[in-house]
Amino acid sequence: MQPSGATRVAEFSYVLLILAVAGIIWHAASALPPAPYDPLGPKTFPLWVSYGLIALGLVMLARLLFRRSLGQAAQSMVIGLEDAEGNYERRPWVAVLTLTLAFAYAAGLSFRSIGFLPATAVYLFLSGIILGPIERRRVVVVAIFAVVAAVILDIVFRAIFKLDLN
Amino acid sequence: MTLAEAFVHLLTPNGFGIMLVGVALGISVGVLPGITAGMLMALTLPFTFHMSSVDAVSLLTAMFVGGVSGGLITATLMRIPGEPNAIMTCLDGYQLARRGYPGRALGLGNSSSLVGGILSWAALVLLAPPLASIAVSFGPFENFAVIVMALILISSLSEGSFLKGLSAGLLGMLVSYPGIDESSGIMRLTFGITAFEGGFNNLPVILGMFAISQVVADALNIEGQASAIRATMRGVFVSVRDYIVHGWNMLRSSLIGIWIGILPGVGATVASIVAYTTAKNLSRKPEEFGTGSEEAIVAAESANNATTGGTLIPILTLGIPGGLTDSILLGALVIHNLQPGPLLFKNNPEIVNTIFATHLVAHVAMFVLMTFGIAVFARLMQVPRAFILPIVIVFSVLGAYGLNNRPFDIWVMLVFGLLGVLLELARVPLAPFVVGLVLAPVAESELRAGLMASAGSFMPLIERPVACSMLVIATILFVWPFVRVWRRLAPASRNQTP
Repeated sequence: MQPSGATRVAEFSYVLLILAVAGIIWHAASALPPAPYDPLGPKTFPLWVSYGLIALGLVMLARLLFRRSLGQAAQSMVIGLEDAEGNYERRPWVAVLTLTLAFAYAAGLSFRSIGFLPATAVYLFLSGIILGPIERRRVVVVAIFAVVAAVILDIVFRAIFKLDLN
Repeated sequence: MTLAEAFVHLLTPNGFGIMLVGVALGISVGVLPGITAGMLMALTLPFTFHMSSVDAVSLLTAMFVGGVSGGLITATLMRIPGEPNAIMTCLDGYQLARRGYPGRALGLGNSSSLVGGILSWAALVLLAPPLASIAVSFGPFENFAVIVMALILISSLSEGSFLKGLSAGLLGMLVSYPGIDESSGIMRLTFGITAFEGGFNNLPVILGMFAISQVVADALNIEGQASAIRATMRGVFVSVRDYIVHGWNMLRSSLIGIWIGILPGVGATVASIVAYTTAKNLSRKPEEFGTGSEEAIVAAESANNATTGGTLIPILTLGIPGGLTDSILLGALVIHNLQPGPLLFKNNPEIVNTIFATHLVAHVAMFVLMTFGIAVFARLMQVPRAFILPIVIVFSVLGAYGLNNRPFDIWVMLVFGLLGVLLELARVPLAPFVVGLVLAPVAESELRAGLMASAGSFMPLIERPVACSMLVIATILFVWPFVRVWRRLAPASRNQTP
C-alpha cells in the first residue's frame, strides 16, 4: 500500500529529525572526557547509538528519495491520527488549536503569578469552546463546566495529592 | 508476601477497592471516546506515587486487564474499536448486535474474555517462576545481550517496518542519555541547559507520547462521534451449553493469545487477528465470518485477553515488554524503583505475587462488572469529547508537574507530545521508542559493569553461551528483514534478464 502524501511529508520530517538529533548528539558526545577505570566512559553509548541512527536515517532518506516505501507500523496506539474512521469531516485546525492552547496553558502555569485555578478555568473554557459548535447555550454550559471542574481539580490536587500549585 | 497472602490482600477493603477501581477505569477507557488504556496508565502513574508499591502495581495491573476488555463494548455497539485489540470484534460483534442481539454479542465476548484471561493466568503462574529461576543466573553480559535482543525483536517482529521500528528504539535510547552519567558522575549531553542536568524523566516523555498525541488525534476527529446500538441485558448471560459448544474455540484461541503475548512486540491486536483467521479457516461455516458469527467473537475476545498473561511473562522474567501498553507497565515498575526481570522474584516477591493475584481476580471482576454494568458503561460512550479532552490535558500537566514540581517537565511532555504526533503521522511504531527509553540505561550500566569486571574485554559476550545465543538471535533478526527483501527482489531481477 502506497503511503498518503501527508505520511510521506511526515516520513521526510522524521528522517530529517533523527539525522539532526543523531548529528547533534554525535557532536556533543565526541567532546566528552573519558572516565577513569571505565573502559567505555560516558560517551561510548551515545556515540554508538548516534552512529546507528545516522546509518538508519541515511538508508531511510535514500529510500524516500528513490520513492521506495519505508513500510508502516502495523498497529497504532494513537487511534485516528492517520485515517478517518467514519464518514465525517476532519478538523486539522481544531487539532492545532488544541495543541496551541495546551502550550499556552503550560506557559500560563509557568508564570506562577497567574495561579492554577484561573489558568485552568480559562483553559478548560477555551478548549471546550473550540471543540464544539459555538452556540449560546453551549457556551454557558462549557463556562459552568470549566469553573466547577477547575475548582474541584484545585481542591483535589492541593488537599489530597499535596501538589504545590502556586 | 506469598501468592495466598496476595489473594488475601485483594480481599481486604483497601486491596479489593483499588483493584476494582482499576478494572472499572480500564473498562471505561475502552468505552470513553478519546482515551486508551495506555493513556490511562500513563495518566495514573504520577498519582500512584502516593500509594505503596503493592497497591500501585495492583491498580495498574487491574487497569491493564480492564483496558484489554473494555474495547468489546464500543466494538459491538458502535463498530469502533475502543482499543486497537478489539478490531476483529468490530466485524462480527457489531453485525450480531445490528441483527438484534447486542446482549448476546456482549455476553459471548465477555465470557470468552474471562476464559482467555483465566487460561493466561495459569500460563503466567506456571511458566514465569521457572523462567525467572533460569534468568536469575544471568550476569551483566547476558542482561545486556537480552536487552539488545529485545530491542531488535520488538523492532523487527511485529510492526511492519524494521527501519522505522529500530530507528524509534535508538531515538528512545538517545532521549535517556542527557544528565549525569551514573557510572562516572560526569555531566553529559546537557548543552549548557541547567534543566537538562536532571535528564528527561520517563513519565513526562511517556505522557506526552501517548496522552497528548491521542488528544490531538481526537481533536482532529472531533466530528466523528458515532451513534450506538442500545445495549440490553437480554442474552448477556451465557449458558453452560455455550461454553461446551465454543469450548474448543475458546481453548485454541486462548493458547494462540498466550503464545503471541509471550513474543515481544506482537501484542493483543495481532493475537485476535491470528485467532480470528484460524477460527475462520477451521470453521464449518466460514462464510458467516464478518456477518455476525459467534465463533468469530469468541476467537477474537479469547485471544486478546489471553495475551495479558502471556505478555507479563517476559516483563517479569526478563524485563522485556511484549507490546506498547506493556511497555508503560514496565516503565511504571521502573519509576517505582522496581527492576523488572528475574531479580524481581528474589528481591520483591510481594510485587510478583500481587501481579499474579490481581491478574486473576481482575479478570473475574471484569466479567462481573461487564455483565451487570453493561448499561452504565454503554452510557459513557455519549460523554462529549469537548469535556473529556481538556481534562485529559490538565491531568497530564499535573501528572508531569507533580513528579518533581518543576515546570520543565510540563514542557518536556508537550514537546514529546508533538514528537508522538509526528511519529504516528509517519507511521513509526511507538513501542520500540518506549522500550529504548526505559531499557537503554539498564543496557549501558550492565555492559559497563561487565567490562569493568572483565578488564575491558568484550570476549565474554561471545564466550558465555547465553549471551552469545542472544546476540546470534539478535543478529539473525537484524539481518532477516534485509534477506527477505533481497529474496523478494532477486527473482524479479532474474526475470528481467534477457
